Amino acid sequence: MNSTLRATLLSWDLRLEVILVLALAGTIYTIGWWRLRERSRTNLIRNRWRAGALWRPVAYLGGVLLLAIALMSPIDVLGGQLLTMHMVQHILLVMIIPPLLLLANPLPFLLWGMPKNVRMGTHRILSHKSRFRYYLRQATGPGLVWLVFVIIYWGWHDPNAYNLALQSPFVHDLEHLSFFLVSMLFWWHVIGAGPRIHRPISPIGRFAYVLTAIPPNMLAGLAIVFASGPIYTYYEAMPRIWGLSVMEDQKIGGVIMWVPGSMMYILAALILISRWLQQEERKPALPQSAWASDEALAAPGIKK
Amino acid sequence: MSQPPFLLGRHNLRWNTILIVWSILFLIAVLTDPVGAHTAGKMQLSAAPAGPYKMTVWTSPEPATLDELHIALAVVLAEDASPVLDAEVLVQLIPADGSLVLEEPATTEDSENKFLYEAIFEPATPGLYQVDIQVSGTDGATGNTSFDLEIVDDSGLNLLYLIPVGLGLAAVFLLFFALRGRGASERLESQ
Repeated sequence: MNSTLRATLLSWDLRLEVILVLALAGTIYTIGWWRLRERSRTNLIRNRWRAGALWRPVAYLGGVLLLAIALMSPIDVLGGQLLTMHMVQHILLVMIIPPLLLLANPLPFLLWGMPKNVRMGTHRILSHKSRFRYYLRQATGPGLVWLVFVIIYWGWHDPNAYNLALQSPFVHDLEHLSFFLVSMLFWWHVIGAGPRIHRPISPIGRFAYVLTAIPPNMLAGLAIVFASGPIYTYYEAMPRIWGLSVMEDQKIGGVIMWVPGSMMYILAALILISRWLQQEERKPALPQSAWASDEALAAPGIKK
Repeated sequence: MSQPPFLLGRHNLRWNTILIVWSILFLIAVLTDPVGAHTAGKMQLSAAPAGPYKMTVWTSPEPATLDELHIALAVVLAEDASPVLDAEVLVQLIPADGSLVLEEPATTEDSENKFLYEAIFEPATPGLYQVDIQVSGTDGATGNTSFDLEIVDDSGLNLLYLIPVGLGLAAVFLLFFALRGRGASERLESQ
């Protein structure tokens, strides 16, 4: 095997603390899903969106697996050597893993995977009368979350912050943790997973919410692609692999952020529109008398 | 309610045990990774010429301590900066006071990033050292570079570690008593 390819494929950083957290998250969800599936067997609701549907653990565990890959595989290790790899890692952490985890609606399953007193305690602090719920709702409103999401996304791509993250393991972990947590909050509003403590956003509102995240992402990607010199100077001292110069790597990294990054939001917006149209189609048709009268046909939508 | 097969048995006891063992393992994992293998560390030399090669060298942790000193280095060809992955690399720690010289081979096997070479030392005494690095390529070409490194005695109690340790232990005790209380109340109900 080619020595460069071999070195690429073998560059893993198996971190026990990451494995422990992901294993616990996966185990608790699986236990909760199993318990809720047993309960839903007696339920009359039998469609693919029911609690015990198999796609839910598949989506959640897929997200957990991708999180492991993003944080421990060559994508992470070589992210310190190539901006391209670091951008792939950021796309996974910001745009792919959070929607996958949230599609599985993890909260009820995680709660059912835990002891009863933990479940009841969580229920108490999220109940309608709880102060915690009030403050959580205030602190995680869609507008505020969107703003914090953009600030964090831009902030970590500042050359000083980025170089510091590459030099310090603590800052690097902080970068990834903040990306992941704020992205979970962002996609929480888009997907509408539990806990549902905010006023529901209309389908058009969600569509707009996702689309407004594209310009900040595009601007950051464009700034990197069209920079005249190396922005992230840390990479200048690293051995160049795959025959990529610092500037070529920077341009590819910027393009990854700009194009596939934006495509993820567009894809999410299309899915939202598609689901909205499906819901509209399911609504019962209006009776003919409501739309086929001479008056209605002459001036549709105008009521007496 | 039926349980998953891996939860059959004494459910309460298992939760206590699982969470406490998990918390302790997590604390150990966090506290024993102070060097942070997923970044190379503090850069000591940047593309320093060494014969037909250039070397970039990092040390971690920062500051360098007696416990475990990692020296990671990238060897590239000076002409096109392409990585050299099959060289023999020898790292020497030469104390300024003339005491025993420490010597370790640096290999890609010891590094998480297989494009870098890494050597791990456990120096016995603090002080100023000269780090000398010799590279021998498979074609017989050799290169050498060096830098000075201050190693400090960090064997004393690091107060910063007390914060996560204290919080972790508090969490473990809270979990233990919360789950223990639940088990006791259920036993009372069943009597």
